[in-house]
Amino acid sequence: MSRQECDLKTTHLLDVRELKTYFYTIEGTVRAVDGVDLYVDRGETFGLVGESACGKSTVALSIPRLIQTPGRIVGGEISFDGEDILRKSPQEMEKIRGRKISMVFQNPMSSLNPIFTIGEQIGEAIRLHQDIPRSEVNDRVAKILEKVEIPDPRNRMKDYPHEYSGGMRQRAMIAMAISCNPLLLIADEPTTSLDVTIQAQILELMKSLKQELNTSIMLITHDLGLVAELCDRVAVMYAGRIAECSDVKTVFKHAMHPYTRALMKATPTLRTKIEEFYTIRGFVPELINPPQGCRFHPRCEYATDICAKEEPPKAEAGEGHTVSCWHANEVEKSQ
Amino acid sequence: MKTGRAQIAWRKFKKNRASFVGGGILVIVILMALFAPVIAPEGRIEIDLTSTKLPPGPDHLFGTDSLGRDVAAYIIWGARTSLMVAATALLLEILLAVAVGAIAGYYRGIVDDILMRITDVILVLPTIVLLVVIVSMFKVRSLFLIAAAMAITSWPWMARVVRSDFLSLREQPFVEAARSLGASDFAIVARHILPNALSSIIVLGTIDIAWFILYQATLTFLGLGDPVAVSWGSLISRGRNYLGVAWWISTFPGLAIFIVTLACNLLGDGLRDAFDVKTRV
Repeated sequence: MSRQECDLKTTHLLDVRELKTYFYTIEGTVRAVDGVDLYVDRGETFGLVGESACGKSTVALSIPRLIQTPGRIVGGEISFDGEDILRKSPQEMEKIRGRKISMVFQNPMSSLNPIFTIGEQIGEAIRLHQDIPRSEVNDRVAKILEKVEIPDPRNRMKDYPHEYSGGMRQRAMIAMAISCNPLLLIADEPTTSLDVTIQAQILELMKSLKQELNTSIMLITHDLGLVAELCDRVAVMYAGRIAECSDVKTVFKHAMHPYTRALMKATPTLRTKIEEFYTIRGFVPELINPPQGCRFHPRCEYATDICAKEEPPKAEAGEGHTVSCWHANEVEKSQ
Repeated sequence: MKTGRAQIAWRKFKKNRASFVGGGILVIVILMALFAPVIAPEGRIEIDLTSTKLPPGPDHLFGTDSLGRDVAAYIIWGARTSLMVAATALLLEILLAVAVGAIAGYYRGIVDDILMRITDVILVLPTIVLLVVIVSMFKVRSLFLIAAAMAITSWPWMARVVRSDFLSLREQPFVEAARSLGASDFAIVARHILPNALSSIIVLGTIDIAWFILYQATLTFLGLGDPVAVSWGSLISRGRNYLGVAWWISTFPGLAIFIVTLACNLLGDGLRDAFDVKTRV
């Protein structure tokens, strides 16, 4: 693996540069993440949006180095809290995971071990990183469960996961993730498998926790509504690359990438009539053989010859606003 | 009331009459073995040439053997040997099987390939033949040797099951969640995967105890047992010559083996159903 010396002078909490994570399968090399740049500042909520299978989760798993064979991080740099993540030994990573970077996953129904009580599992998460006498662990667990608004925590911590509802399990997962006050919380579609009212509750919880703990959050989602609600900045990902990245307001008002615009058009509102539903034609390309040039061009309304031949460079479109599109100006004018 | 997996399993287990009976029989046999000196004073299994081959009667419930020893007392003392050897073999088997199965299933890849080929080699050899070969290589045949030999010939079956459990459990979201919290490989295996694989190990283990008792009797019958140990196999073997005149010498220890083996199998079946999440109460 040839990588340049990591630039540790970055002021960002998390700085990912040119990240490449490939999966080596029998059918070929899947370039799930193919040159992704992004950063997250302290105390900031950063959204990563895109369709299914565009590499969002792979980015999420690459940051704490949770990629498993046949996947491998093959290039790029990840600097976190002044440390070069890709140069850490497995033992050093174990100390970072859960303590500095923790994750909340999509499926709360199966992310808890069925044969231990909720309290035991949160207690384990605490004891992995903090030297706390056994007698005090239960107090800590109860406190954390209270923080994530589980009613009657002293009793409910003795429950097994199957005695919790989906929303409560996700609260328990969040409790485990924040049990050591991490600097960065990566939430991979944390509300996708929950029903709408529970989604709203979990969102409220994440918002209030963020203010209370001053933790940075990286929110992975395909729901633009969530991004608007929760995030400070957002990156739109397509087929293993970042298409556009900016603060939330700019992206919603002045999107310059055709894909970002299409995503927003495809989000239904209460006023949308059924026959007016907008869909992006085609599918996310297979990442074994991604399209030449701009990866979005086969589905793009603005595509011209150059899009099929050459990959668009990352261009600075405004302060903190980057976009990778040959026709960015055209797209902006057309709205 | 809290209902953990164990409680649910217990409730399901109680409903299965046959396995409940099996478990009960095993408990009685274990108690008998533990309290052998109380139930059957040691004098009753000493050689007494004045009362050989007595038929079953009030004084000797199951009769006496060709050397005048009380068959019933001999069976009770034999239970000690049988259970101790079976338990030792089971312990060794579980250690081997879990070590190999866990490493193969958790790390996969080339380690898995090598370990599974080793298990294949043992699996294709007939167990009893392999046992006879291993045991007959030694001049002094202690009970521990017999237990070790049985463990060595039996672990591949359990290792296969442990491996397949590990292969599927390692992909469970809760394993990934544990890893994301900073759990080490060892912690993940010991705290998250192994406890979830325990039910198949227990079920297989119960059934293997039955096999161990059978194998042990077979070896003793073939003259490959510990010659001084009081065991069911040796009694059957000795009674073989007197089947026509004193049928009780072989029949009662045979019956004991039959009952204990059956009890183990019933218990194993019941445990399998009880741990199976798919069969509801």
